[in-house]
Amino acid sequence: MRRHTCRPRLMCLLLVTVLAACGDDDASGKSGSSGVGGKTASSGAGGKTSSSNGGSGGTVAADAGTASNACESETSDLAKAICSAKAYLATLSASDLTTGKLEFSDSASRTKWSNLPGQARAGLKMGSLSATSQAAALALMGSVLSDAGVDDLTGVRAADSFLGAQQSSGGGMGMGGAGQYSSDNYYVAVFGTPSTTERWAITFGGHHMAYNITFLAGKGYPVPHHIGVEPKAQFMINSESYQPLSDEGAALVAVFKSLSESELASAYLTGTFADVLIGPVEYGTGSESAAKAKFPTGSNRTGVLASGLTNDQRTLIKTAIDAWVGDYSPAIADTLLADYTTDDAYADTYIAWGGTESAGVDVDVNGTYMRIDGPRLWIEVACQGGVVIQGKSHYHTIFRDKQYDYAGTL
Amino acid sequence: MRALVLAALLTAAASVVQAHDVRGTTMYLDVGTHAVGVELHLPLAQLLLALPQPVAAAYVPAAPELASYLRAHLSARTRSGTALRCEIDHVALQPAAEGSELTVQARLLPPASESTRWLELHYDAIVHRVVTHNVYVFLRRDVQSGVLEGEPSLLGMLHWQNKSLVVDRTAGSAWRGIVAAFMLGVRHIQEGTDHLLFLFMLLLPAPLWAAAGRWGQSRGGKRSALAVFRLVTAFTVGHSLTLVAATLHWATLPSQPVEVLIAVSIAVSGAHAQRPLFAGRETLVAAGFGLVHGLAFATVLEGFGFDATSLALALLGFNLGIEAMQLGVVVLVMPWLLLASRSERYVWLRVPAAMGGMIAALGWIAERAWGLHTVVPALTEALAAHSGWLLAGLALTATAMSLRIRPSRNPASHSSA
Repeated sequence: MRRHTCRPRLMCLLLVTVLAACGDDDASGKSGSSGVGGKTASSGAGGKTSSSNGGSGGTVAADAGTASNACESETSDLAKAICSAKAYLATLSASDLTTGKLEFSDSASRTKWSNLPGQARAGLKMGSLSATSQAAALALMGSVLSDAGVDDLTGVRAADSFLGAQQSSGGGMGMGGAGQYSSDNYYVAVFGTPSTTERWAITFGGHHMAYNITFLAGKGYPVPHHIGVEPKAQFMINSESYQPLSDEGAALVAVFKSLSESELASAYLTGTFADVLIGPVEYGTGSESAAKAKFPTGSNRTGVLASGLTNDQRTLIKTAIDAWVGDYSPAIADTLLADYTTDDAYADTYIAWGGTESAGVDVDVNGTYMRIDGPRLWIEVACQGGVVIQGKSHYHTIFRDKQYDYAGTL
Repeated sequence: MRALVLAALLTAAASVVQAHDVRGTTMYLDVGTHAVGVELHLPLAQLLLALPQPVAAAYVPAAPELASYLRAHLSARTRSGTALRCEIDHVALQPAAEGSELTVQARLLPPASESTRWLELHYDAIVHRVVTHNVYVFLRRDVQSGVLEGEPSLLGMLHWQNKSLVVDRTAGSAWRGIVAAFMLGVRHIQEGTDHLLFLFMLLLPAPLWAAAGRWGQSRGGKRSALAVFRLVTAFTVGHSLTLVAATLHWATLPSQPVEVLIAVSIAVSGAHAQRPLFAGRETLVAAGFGLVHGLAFATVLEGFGFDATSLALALLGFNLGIEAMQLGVVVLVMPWLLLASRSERYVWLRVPAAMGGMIAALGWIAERAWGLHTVVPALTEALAAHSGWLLAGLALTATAMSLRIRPSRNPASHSSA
């Protein structure tokens, strides 16, 4: 579900404009930046497998403006990320920099993420940034995400605007007052100084979203990564349609659909799952200890082992893992995907599910829960009751690495 | 006022917790010597998931049902392995922005021979069923470790894989508890502008004779000192009585009328400082208003009733702190009043000061009784924040007054000096 695909319409249009406008420009120009993409498209051919029914871009992308992205000419993903981070920081005023660029050692702020709206988060609020800075922030995210990843980011923000519109039109419930739900309420922060050798990090998040990408000696670790969405079904806003996370959900459901009755029974977890098991338990603590204590250990690790399944089933598992890992650029995603899917890893990777056993793995049923628990990899999907749109379930998902959350730098 | 600040602090602490996880349980521990107070905030929606299914969406478990559920999921042992008795004292349903929560007050009690300074807590309400649930355990009060107020500190998080927690408070001592409570008393008077103002209003006319419905001449150092001693003792006896009585729940009043009465006490004693209203009965009046102020002091020690030792230490230390600070104020202020009162011009200090006190009192009365917000209370607090300068001003005025009288009355002193 990822990369090297040109997302149709707006994206292609943008890229064409960018290429035409700046040609071989040197990367040193730090002006303005742009477009959501940030990723070079190697082919314009379809192959677009991402969720949002054709509507990439949308309101959020449109906000991003159409300035050129000088970082496109950088040759490596890492160089692009560094260039984009510097370009973004260059758009900020001195006073914004004090909030927007934080010390890498500020672990408390690096752990200040949540699935909830209205929580204090590190960095600058998108809605209070200039159009140029917003575009540069999105270009920065584009430099570490794949096209599918950008689609999720765009789609989840659009979903929040959708919820806001539902609430203000009196069609929804929800926590908090007007303005609680909006694509403006997302925060971006850069920790440390972007470099190929030093430690630095990017965080971007808001309701149902937390990207934490930590760079350690030139390698990016995109964990913990929380992403969720309400509504789960396709929705329209500003004439664009979206359905973020549908690829993640479908890929994981496919794994369970491939299991036999007895495999499903042994993969079943007792207990009630009201959310993911390991959400933002470390919020603001600057420590991983709360999260680490919650990973199941010893005989608490249950489910069916991936190594005991057929090749076809293992392929489905890999596709499901790729639905999360592949939201990131190849430089970040490739080694992780390889690490998570080796025979050794599969020999210790449990596939498990929970919820109403009689209902089976049905994402439309509240409380349905799916997870992949590997030696390092940890992916969870919880289907929760609607908050704004009552009576419909929605996704909460988390992707962690037991060893490399925050690149092990906390 | 102090109680409000405390409540605000606790709310702030709770919101820190809530930021982790709105659906988590919060547990506050108040650790004593022979009892541990436990306050639980359980999100109702999560509790319903943990009860035997099916449960109706709007179901609220009745207090006895909840109590027996909690007794099955809350237990503790002392270091020697003795199980503590669990008393569920109070259960209430509270609506909250993120959904209703059940608030539970409970106590864990060991046999008389054992201490609760070390215990192993075991708790799995909700968590026994809802594997995703988190329980945040905070230490809120521990008198013997000097934890009397302020933001509760996180002791640990209980969850599906970790359902017990050792609470080791063996490092505390009674002495540390008394010292902390003493400092709390000192701070309470320091920051309690209304208490200080009342005291000041009482002291203003103390050095003067009352005659024919007016304040007259100074009655001299010895008599004035005696009058001050009687006033302060009477006020102390009065507020100590109600502080103890209210803390032990023998006598309580809602805080709003108490706060209004305190403001009234300032107004009355301010009026008295202008013209004698109850000359000769000041001691009685000081004691009477002392009773009112004591009720307000008691709000600071609310919630220490979970353990007799903690309560006794807190009460003793807090009251001593109040007395010490009060005495300090008298020692700092009184000499200047005595000095100034020897001058005819003392009226220029006494009357404006009394007027000021009355205006402040009226501002508080309006705010506390009718919710009328004027600039007066804020202005009063702003002035009180510069108490050092106020004292310096008083000293200067008093000195100036005393210097200006001397040459005219006794020219000889000039040459001899």
